[in-house]
Amino acid sequence: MDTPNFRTEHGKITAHLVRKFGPNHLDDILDATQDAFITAHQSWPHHGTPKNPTGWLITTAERRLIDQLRHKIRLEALDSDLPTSEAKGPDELHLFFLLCSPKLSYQDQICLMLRTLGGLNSAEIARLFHQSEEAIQRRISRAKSKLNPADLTTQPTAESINAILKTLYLLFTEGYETARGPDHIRPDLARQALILIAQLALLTQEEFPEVHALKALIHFNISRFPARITTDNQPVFLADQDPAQYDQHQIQLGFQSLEQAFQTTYITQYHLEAGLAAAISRNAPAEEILSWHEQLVNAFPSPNARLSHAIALGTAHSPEAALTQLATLTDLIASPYYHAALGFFQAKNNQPDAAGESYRRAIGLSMSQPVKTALKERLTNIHSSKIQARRKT
Amino acid sequence: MKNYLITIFNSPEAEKTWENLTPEQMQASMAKYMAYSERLRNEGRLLAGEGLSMNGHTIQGTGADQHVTDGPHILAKELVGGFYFITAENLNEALAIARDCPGLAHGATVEVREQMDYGQ
Repeated sequence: MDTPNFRTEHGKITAHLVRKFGPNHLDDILDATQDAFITAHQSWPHHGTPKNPTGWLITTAERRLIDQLRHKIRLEALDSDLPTSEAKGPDELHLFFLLCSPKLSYQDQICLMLRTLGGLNSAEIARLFHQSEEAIQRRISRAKSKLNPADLTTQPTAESINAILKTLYLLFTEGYETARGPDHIRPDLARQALILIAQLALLTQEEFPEVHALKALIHFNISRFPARITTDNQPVFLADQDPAQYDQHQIQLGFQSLEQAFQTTYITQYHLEAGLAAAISRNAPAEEILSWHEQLVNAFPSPNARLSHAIALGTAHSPEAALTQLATLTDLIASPYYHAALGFFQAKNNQPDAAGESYRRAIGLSMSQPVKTALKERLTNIHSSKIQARRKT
Repeated sequence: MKNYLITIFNSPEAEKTWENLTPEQMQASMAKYMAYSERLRNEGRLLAGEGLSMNGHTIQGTGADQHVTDGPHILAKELVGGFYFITAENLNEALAIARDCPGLAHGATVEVREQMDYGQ
């Protein structure tokens, strides 16, 4: 029996315990969940992985939680905390809707969802929000104290869907391109986002097309995972990826969701990003990819969208076109990807010295070890092609 | 061949680091523990091994002077998290095995004790 995926299990256990014991005990529930994993370390190596690991972890966490709660309150009082209304669908969705309580701010909701269902710790959430760990810890404990089972919503609303999608988008983004540390991608996070969005899509059916749009986006991006890292875990940039390695099954699932997503009268950012991701996954012509970038940058001009648009311009037209566009994005000079893009097109435009300088700045700004290594390789390539060029003349 | 008890002690600081591990980190350390036990079993040297609950009681004295206290940590700051009882050629081999214990990566202290040979 293989060890199950702990991140998926973390979401399942937390959600189950919240459904059973109520959100007032969220602190103890998170402790008990962590404890179940620690206890597994003491038991599984000696007795093997249990036949039903999820059941084992849930029972262990539940026993632990009851122990903790017994210390705090008399057990009879527990019953009054049990949520009376039953949400449809799996425990995880129940917890999602619960955390979308209107008493909480949008950012509070997202933090709590990332902490419980995403299994991210406060340091990881702090990175996603560009805030200090202490600030996130304060936010989470404040938000937890505001939760009340009486506010439980069983019906998904446009607002709650909005917060849930944002959470899953952030969770997936961190899995897709880890901002810091030794890994370039974290497939566990991406998979957890996929499992949760699939559950949400099943529950909400046709009601919220944007759910299907985000699901499509995640499928298409996961389809490129095999091509995005080398066998020794080094990142491969889009221009160097081999489309033959894209996962066709994921692409097929992506198109199914995309079809459902576009049966709608309104278009969200997720729709456009999914359309773009579909074009990339099926290796569409550069002009077509560029037109998706243009739609995105016009509708939602985020820093990332503007940078990607400039890069697409360079791929579809010329290095000069990209460089001209990049020169207008002066607010992005703190981003390592901005300088990496500059370096890439400067090198193509026969400006090896400028390219070298840009790559060095990108390396200095990057916090991801694999991306640093890949950029250093590009820098070395410029130097060696410079030497070759000198030899030729 | 002799028998050795490898005991894994967790300090309060080590307990703290466990509380902050992400699911991936726990998954990775679980894989290491599973592989370690598997190796000891495959080498045919594992006599017994268990994890111990962090809950427990301490008993001191007899009769009217007997005290039962909550928690196993009354006597030492460090708690025994688990143990392996193994056979090894000699102390050096037992030490080499204990030095691979995955708990060390989480700040645990690992003790190696030889079973007393009373010549009986």
